[in-house]
Amino acid sequence: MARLAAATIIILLTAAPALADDCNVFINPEDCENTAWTVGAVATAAAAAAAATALTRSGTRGPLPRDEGECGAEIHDLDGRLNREVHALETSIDRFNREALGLDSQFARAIRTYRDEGEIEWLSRAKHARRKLQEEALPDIQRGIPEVMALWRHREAVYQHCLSRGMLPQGTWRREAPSFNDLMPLPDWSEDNPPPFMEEAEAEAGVRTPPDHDALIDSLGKPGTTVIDPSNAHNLGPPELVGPGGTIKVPPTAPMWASPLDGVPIPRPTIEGGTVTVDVGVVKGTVRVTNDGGKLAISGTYEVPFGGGNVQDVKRLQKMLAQINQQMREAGMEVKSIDASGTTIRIRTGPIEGGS
Amino acid sequence: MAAVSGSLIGVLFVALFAYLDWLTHRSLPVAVGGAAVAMTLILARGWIGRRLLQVPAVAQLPPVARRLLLALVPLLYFMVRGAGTSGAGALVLILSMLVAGGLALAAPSLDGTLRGFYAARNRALPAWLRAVLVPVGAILISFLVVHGSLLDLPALFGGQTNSPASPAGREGRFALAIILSGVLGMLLLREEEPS
Repeated sequence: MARLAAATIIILLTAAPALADDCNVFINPEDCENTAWTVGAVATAAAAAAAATALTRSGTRGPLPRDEGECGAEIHDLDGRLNREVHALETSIDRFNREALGLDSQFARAIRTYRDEGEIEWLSRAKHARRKLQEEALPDIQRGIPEVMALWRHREAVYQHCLSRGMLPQGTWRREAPSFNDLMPLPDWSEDNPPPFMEEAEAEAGVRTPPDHDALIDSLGKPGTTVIDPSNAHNLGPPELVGPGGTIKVPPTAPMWASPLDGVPIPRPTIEGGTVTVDVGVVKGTVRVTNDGGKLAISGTYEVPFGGGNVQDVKRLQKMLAQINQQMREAGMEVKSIDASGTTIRIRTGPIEGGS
Repeated sequence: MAAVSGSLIGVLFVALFAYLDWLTHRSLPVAVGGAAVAMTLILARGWIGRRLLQVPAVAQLPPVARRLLLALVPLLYFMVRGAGTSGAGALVLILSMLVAGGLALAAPSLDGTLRGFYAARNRALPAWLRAVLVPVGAILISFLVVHGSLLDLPALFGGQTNSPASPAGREGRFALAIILSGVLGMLLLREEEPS
């Protein structure tokens, strides 16, 4: 048989060019490309191959079962595969939902750490955990669901095939289509878009971020925590110094060099290690807020044209601070502690101990 | 009786195309190399198919659409290597896809009617013989319909034709041959399967 096959191959390979039409001359290969029988043979064979491909089952699945034994064996095999794949997919979806749910509290803690301590590491970890879920776990699940459904549809088709021919083994059951839990949406929290429940929790705990001077006085006159951060620090000065829209209001008694600053928007200060730094061009200063026996105190330095000094020596600032402390005392409050270690200053106030 | 193996049909057609390619182009590297590549792809089609099904766009295609995409392969071969200067490339491609697609879509509803025929056919003809008959039948149809005479069949093995003919202007014959070969393929290979 092998010799016959080898001889056939040799004969075919060494055969003269087809002696048909112009092929008998074979001046060049195109002679044979353009005869009715060669073009027709390739065309018809290609059409037959296309039809055969379209009409026969592809892949590794065999033909449909032909008797009760084959029906039982194929359905048993499909059930085994379905059980395994459905279980694996359910486990993946449960794990995904559990981890997606855990991301909420992970982000809340990470954002709080970032706000309070300027620590970015926890936020990076939370973002990495979300990216891993989104880029690895989610595509696996989204790919797995149609595959399992395709397997179930095949099982259903085999079941119906066997049922319609009376070839179902006794006790074979019709399997319902598998269904899966919905996937939890992934939170998209960041330092600029914190989770809403975190804001609510802070409000319940008496954490307030006053937007202006009046709100600051009001907040310091209540028990709780007043937060000063770069978003509100520039707007907390008294109305005689801060104009509408957060602009500088220069008093008439101010030196001549300060006049050009009148109406200039107050730039956002930076806060590092609890120290507020303000830079308005000709005026620069750093201010640190401390607890002086239940009262607010400030310290730091400033620079102005032709001079500079310590902020605690600036009478206007001291007068302003004295007014704030006086209003706090009138409200029966005192400073309990000041946490000024990161990018925020958190002033905790409470009732004066043993006070009136 | 087992169904005809897709691999066997594929290998037979690749061998036929390789021989026809050798006959018309006399380029051994293309004929043998092309056949080797095609046969490797056919034998590895399970592995390739499983990986392709991991691509969502492929997995979401209905099975019929996936088979029709695969059916384009021999037709593209015809356009590139078989059509010569006959101008029949587009006609064969379009009509063959219409025939293959029509048969693939109609087959599930015809299965019930043809169930008795399938059973009798499978009893009379072993699967390997049915697989061989499809390309053999296609060659016979091409000589009879496109060329015009079965008597010139020896030309396929180095003989001479008595009635030389040009492929140009034979669109109707090509169309008839395509329809006949498609129907022959269905009658010989189709197995009843779930829709």
